[in-house]
Amino acid sequence: MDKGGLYRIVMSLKVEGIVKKFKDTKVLNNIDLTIEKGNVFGLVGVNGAGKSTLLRSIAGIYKLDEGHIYFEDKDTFNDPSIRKDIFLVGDDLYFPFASTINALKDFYSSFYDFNEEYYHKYLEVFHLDANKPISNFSKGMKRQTALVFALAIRPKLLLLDEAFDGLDPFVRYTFKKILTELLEDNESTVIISSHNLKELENICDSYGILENGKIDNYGDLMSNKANINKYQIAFNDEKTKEDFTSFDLLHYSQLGKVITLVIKGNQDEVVKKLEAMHPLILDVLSVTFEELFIYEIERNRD
Amino acid sequence: MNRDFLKFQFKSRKYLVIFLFVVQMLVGMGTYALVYNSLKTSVYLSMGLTFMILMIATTLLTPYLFSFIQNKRSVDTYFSLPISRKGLLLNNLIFLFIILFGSWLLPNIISFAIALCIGANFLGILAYFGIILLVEIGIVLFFGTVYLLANNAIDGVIMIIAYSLLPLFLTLAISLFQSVYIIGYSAIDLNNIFYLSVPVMACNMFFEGISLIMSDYFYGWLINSSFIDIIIYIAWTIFFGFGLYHLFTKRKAENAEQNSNHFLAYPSLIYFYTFILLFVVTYMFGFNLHSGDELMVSLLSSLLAYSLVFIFFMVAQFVYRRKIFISSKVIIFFVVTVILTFAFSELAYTTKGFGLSYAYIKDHEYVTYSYRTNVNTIEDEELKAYFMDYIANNPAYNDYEYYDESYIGLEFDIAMDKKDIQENQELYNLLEELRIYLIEDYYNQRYDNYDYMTSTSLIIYDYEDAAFRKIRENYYYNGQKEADAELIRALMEYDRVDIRIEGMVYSNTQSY
Repeated sequence: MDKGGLYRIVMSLKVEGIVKKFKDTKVLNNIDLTIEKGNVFGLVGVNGAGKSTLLRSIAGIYKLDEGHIYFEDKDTFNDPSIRKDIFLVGDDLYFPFASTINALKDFYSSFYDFNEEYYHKYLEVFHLDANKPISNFSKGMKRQTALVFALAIRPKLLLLDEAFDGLDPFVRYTFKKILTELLEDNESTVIISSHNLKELENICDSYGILENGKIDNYGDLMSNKANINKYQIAFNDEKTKEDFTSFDLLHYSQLGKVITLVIKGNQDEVVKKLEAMHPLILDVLSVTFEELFIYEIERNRD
Repeated sequence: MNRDFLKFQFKSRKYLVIFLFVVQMLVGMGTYALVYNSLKTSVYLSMGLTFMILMIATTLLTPYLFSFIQNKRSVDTYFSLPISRKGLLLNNLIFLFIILFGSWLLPNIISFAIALCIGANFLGILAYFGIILLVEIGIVLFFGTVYLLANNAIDGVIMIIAYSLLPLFLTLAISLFQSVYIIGYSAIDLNNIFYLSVPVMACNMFFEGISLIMSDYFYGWLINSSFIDIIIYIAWTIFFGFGLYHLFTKRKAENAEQNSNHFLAYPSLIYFYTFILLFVVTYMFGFNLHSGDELMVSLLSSLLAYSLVFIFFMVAQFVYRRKIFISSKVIIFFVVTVILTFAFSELAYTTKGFGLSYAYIKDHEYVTYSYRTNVNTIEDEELKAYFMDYIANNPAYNDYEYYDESYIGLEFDIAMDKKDIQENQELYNLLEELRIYLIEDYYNQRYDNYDYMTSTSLIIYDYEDAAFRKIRENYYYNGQKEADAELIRALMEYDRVDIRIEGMVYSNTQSY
């Protein structure tokens, strides 16, 4: 397990041994996680893995059964004042009946330090009418509305659950640009959960895969990706999966004589070992974040 | 508490606030324009109607204001805000209270001023104001607490209705039990149970408060009242205040839109209501049995009632769990409860109301007896002759004709004070014998088909005062069988027993 660059001195969010149960089911099972300030953390997992639960726990909505979550050394559940610097854009958005964006502005500005300048700026960027009832908005527009408020509040910890759900490609692109500004200006920490790993790949510094209530696989995205590669190889003689047991194999597939292997490990060392098996061809391909996720999940389930 | 959020609450619900104030003003002031009665009547009417609107608005708005906690999406938003649960609760309560009490106060300040001009008691007005303030706080906390026992809006409304009606159902069940199984003595003062209902107490306190305004009654009330109802109401208010605080601050966000499985919600209420209903059915079953019906007849006649209760039980389970739920546990509970209620009822009958039927104040200061019965003279010629002779020799019946010689309808009323009792000890003993006879008769008789529609009743009132107004205790004995003829003959020997006869004779002026 590669924890990458997560042991730097400046720690923003600290999750310590948290357990969260719903009735008798342990949704979060003894999770430890540390995310540094200014980091963009991609939280991924299969459906029902507990991503939303983790984000809600960090936001101070759920009371944990065990453990604590600290943001800037303050417990996010027990200390409401720290929640002024935390903002969650949930997967299922809530807008009071018949409210408008301007009305919601009054709501949020009564709790948070609200930046009017950014508010108006992002309203324009997303082309939203602040006086129309939000109930008439499309799904994507509602999400944009939530993002406007998130960006206007400029939280130190921004939690985005299914961040790109419902957004068209241009809006996604625009949002990623704005997010970068937020990170640079505010040194905000962002945790994004999404099934759209292609989008996450471009913006995340680190990631964590949540499965069976645990995050056993997390770390710096680039270095972990560099450590996992896809090798397409062909041999004269017949080979099976057992011939590759000496490698840290994430994936094995064969089509005719061409074998595709996804191996974790230093690329040069792996190539050296494979070449020692005298292949006819050997190609090295990088894996995407999506492939990394799929292969890790596959291995855990084998 | 967050002041900016409070301002937002007013701003975002300004139409609701305006509507409430306008309705209260229109109704409160409208009585002065429309009513042609005295100004005093208009004042009372205005206060009564505005109080009624206050109660209706409180019933509707309390669950509405707290409904955000029952919805998954809204509860996530509110619980993620940088405000403590306590602060959020306080914000909602203060907002609710200001709009409800404020809208009530506005027209009532005008009514208070008018009342003062026509001679109202200023201190009485202040007391009334304080009482309504207390009533409103209590009702809001009560509704808020029981609403939050539920995890979704529909269940919340059901909780409010169920808990509001609970004392009523309990009173009815105990009343029925007492009337069937404890003859005579009212073991439990049912009024006290019924009035324990917070909404009922609220209305009672309103009536008590409004009576203080226009009269000199205030000073008497201040001196003589035990304030027990106010004390109990304050205790309820404190209790529900703690309850609401606990339920709100300890609330789990993940419970929103789930089954309402708090132990004081459906788990208790379903079983409690089923228990009460089964008690009622079992009384009827037991009563039929002891009235002479055969076991199978009683059982069959009660089967429909038991089936209805079972259907209620299963429907309630469905509403609770949102699915058809049949389990051995549930069936066993129902069967065991039927057996237990029946066993309890049988025990009550066998022990003559757990001995309570014999509980009686014998040390009377002032007492009245009212007795009514029928005496069958078909098979008793000697008795028949006795009564016919009594009638023939009594000038009061000179204008009467014989109607039905086979039965007599008798009634008498006697009032006695302590001295009378001492001087007429034999008569008193006979009356006591009559009372015991009725108790024994009630529990020992199995009533077969009888020829006549007979009914016997003995009502005894024990008074505190010589004017026979303040009742200390009352006892009611009834029976289906006709009276002991010998006992009646013995009573008739006394001049104080002024027997009025019907049945055997009727007046020429009466028509049947």
